[in-house]
Amino acid sequence: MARAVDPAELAPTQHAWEVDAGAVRVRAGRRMAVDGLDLRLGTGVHGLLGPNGAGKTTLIRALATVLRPAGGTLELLGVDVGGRPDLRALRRRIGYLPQDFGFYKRFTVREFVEHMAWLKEVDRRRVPGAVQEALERVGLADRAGDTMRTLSGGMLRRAGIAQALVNDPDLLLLDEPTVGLDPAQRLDFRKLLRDIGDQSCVVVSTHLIEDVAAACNRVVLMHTGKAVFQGAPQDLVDAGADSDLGDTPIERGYSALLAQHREGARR
Amino acid sequence: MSARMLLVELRRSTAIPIAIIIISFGVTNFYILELTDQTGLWQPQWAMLAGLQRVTLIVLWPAALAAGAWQARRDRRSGMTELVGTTSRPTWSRSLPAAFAVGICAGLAYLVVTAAGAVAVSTPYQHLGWTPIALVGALSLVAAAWLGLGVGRLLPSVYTPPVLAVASFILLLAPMELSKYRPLTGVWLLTPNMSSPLDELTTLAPAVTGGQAALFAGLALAGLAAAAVAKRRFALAALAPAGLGLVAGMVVVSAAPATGLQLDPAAAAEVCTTDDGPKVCVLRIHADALDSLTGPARQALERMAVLPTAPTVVREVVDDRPGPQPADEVWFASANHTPGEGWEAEGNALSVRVLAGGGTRPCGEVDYRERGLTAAWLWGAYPAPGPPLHGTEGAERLAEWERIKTLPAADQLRWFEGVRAKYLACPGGGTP
Repeated sequence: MARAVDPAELAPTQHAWEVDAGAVRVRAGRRMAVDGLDLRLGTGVHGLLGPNGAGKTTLIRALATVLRPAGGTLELLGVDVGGRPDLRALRRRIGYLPQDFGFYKRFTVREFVEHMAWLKEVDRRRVPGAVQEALERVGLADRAGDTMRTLSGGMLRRAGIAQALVNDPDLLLLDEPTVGLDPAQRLDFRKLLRDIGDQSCVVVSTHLIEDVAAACNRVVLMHTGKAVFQGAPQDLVDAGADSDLGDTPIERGYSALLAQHREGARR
Repeated sequence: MSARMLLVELRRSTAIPIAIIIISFGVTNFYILELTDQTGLWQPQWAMLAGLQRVTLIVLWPAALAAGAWQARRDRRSGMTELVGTTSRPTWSRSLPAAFAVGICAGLAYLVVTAAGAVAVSTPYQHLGWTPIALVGALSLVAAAWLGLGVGRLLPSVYTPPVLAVASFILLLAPMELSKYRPLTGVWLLTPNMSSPLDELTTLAPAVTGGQAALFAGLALAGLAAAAVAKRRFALAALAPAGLGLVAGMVVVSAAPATGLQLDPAAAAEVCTTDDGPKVCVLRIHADALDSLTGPARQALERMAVLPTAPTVVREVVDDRPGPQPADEVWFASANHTPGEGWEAEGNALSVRVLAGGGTRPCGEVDYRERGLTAAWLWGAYPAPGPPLHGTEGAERLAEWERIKTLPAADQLRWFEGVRAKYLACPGGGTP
């Protein structure tokens, strides 16, 4: 379907990186969950790995403008969110799937995604097309008329991804998006991620290391609030040796890097 | 505001459930009365319809308030607060579709009930003076829903809706209970629910309706503003229009009579016979009962033709119409008419009722024995047509009748004229 092109879409980007963090610190409650993290993310799919409590969700929430950095610098799509920025324009360009994804039970899937498009101020004329496209991309078009409460866990997750995509975001943040998806859906989802990563910066937090290996161009490994490794999935594979814990080369690399960091931290 | 989002919210918010509650409760209220033959409470007069519907607000107002507060918690209840908070649309703009959906449904549902009652209204007095009473009732429900939204935003607790419902019910019940001991005055007149139904001739004073409109407009604005402000801590300040509305309401209502009620002069205007016979007049609200009164009233005039000052016209009058009554008129109290049914007697019995007290209406210290005996005297027989009297009163009245009949004709006439003169003078007004 043809759509009107917003002049903003054709404007040259003014920033080098979609996400540019310098020694950023973010509080989660009283704890400094992200503590001096340096990170630069451009276009592509970035897998965010790390054990529970590493600060992945806190980082994603800061990238989604839910939390404000307590220190350091954080620029999103060229906007410094440390000061008192006008978040409205920035938020139009962000897509976000929270870890605890809530939804209005009485809305149909289409109404829900439509509602989110409206909240994200997608141009009114574009909304029907954008909603249909988002639903088709996550494979929910045939359930568009069903209410949200009737969806299974995996379908809800896909509805969550659809709402994150509906505004065609330049920065797409997905916190545990593959929870509840069956193997076939995960394969489709990886392909979807690769497609979106051609145009946008996608940050995916996950515990499923195979998803990262299959779908991400870059991997960020977090531990105790810091990025302890950044590189291509192959670099992660290369970091592991047969003696490390894990069933696949990339799992062994993940274990090796974490073990190294833990040792370094102890020393 | 997005029309599409409004449509979605009309379907998915608490708008439809609250509308269903309002309509089912309101319509049930009217037609339960139909089942128990109490339609006289609302069918004979448009203002009675509007007034009786206002009584139901004692339940519906708290319900709309709770529905608003429930709606306000939707994001939190659904775990959507974080996601919605990361979207670009400003809070005020975000809050409008659901607020309008709930407000529109609450207000329209109230008017649907009015319409459902209106189809059964049967009255010769067609007017629009009652519509402000109905419209302010609808506005009060919009105000309740929006106030609920605002308070729900301020106090987003799961307990807010039930506590609001119970608290507002008690607040509205207070004047109703109070009204049993003394008439409501001042600020109590501003409550949305009426404490008692209106009668055919009484209407809410325009100043009361105006004051209520000011209060509910203030409450509605305050609720909407509290629901729409960007920061929750400003929501308390946003409730300021409620205070303004209350002050304006109190100022306006102070212009009303103390009870807040007044006679509807158009309902009490006269409608008279136009033929060549003696003139018979009824209140406009009873215009469709003129024909059934005309014959018996003229028969009564014929019976009175023997008097030295014979009346030539029969007028139905409101019960408390002040005297003196001209001697050439018969005044017939409107209490002889049952709303929705008609005169309390027909034929000769109705003539006798017209003749009671010598063609006067009850006034001051009423002695029903002498009023009945004067009617019988004019009729020329005891007992005169009408419901029979039994017991002591029946025996004593008969004894009195026999005593009067033994008097010389001149004394009988003097006795009759004495009774009649007392009720003709009637300095203060009638007895309701």
